[in-house]
Amino acid sequence: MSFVNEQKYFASTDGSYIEQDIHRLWPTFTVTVVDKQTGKFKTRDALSAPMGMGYEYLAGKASEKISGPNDLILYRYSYDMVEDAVQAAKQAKEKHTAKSIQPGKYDLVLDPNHLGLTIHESIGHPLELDRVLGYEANYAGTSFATLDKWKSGKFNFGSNIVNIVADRTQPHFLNTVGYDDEGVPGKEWELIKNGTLINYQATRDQVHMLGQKQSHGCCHADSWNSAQFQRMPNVSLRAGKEKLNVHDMIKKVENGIYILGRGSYSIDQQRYNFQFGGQVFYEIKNGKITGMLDDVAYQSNTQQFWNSCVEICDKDDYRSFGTFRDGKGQPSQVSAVSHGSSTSRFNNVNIINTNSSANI
Amino acid sequence: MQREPVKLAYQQGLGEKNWKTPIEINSFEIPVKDKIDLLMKVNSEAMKVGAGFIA
Repeated sequence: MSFVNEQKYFASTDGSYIEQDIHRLWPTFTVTVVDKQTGKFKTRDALSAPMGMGYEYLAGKASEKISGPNDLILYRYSYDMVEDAVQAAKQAKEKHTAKSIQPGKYDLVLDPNHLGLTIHESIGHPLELDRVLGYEANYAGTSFATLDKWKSGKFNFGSNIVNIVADRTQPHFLNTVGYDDEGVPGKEWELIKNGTLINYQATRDQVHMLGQKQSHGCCHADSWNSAQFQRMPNVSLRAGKEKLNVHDMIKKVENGIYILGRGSYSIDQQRYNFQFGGQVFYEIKNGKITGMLDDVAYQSNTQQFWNSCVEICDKDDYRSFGTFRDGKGQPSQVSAVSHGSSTSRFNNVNIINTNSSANI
Repeated sequence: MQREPVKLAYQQGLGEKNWKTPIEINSFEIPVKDKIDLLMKVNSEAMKVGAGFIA
């Protein structure tokens, strides 16, 4: 378990004197089950999220639990660590007999605890204006989401149900603050509206390049002796407007995979071509979960992937994913950030088998 | 080399301000023993259903 209490005082010649007391926690674990006959290890990480909350997150309130497919218990804003460790052990054990995936095209049903990392890497990072301008090319990289695409007003980043918002005011999220490190109040602004790219993440010295007059308030330094610069706010996929839960979403999938949890990932420096794994994978056949899968990763490019998004569950399914240690800058700095979403469906995505020795 | 002056978007001075994450229980006021007890329970319950080890 990790706990953070960041106490920050900001003063500027503009006439702001701001004191902030920021709390975060991250309860997590990795459960390992060993098959002594084969000598193989299988693991399952916690399905918790790091939160901008106090110890109350660990109360495990029944009202914050979601009953998922296959008797899974999913967690919103209250986490039962003991309960999740037990289901993690059972799932890690089941992985030993899980079927290795047959590569091909599948419809994906992605849980928020998984999708958050894909949002972070394929939307959060390429819409950082300093990356777009080449300022971070030496270390973090650049962006495929160039200014000409934004200026056109027609760049279809995703399907028309994809609405992405940046928000430094969202309750319980890691990057939520009262004020940024340039004295700008936290706010919410849209990045992608009905699938179209409409804005970036920019600080006081950058917004004039977008023809805008007010900073987005996403300037951050990780210490008194670090230079403040543009950092990713909470970047989230808005919940679907139609009533929909994960059970009903899965019922409509003929040949798919349900993926939960953060796994391995790889993405190029322009944040375009990528590959993501996960923690737990379930096969979906004709609307039903038929068993656990192993060795799964999906490959796509950012625009193709987000244009394949065909359904998003409603706000009752909305949950967060996050990290304490998003890295950027030279000298390197860390930042804590969350990504909210509801379970979402992506059609016809390329799946590879990550086990080169698998007998498939 | 800087080729043109930095253009800072205007920000009104806000005076004295305070902000705090709206927490209910301060994690730093929970005794270490309580945190260890929770982690040990996480460990023992997972071991009962087949875990080899938990980190």
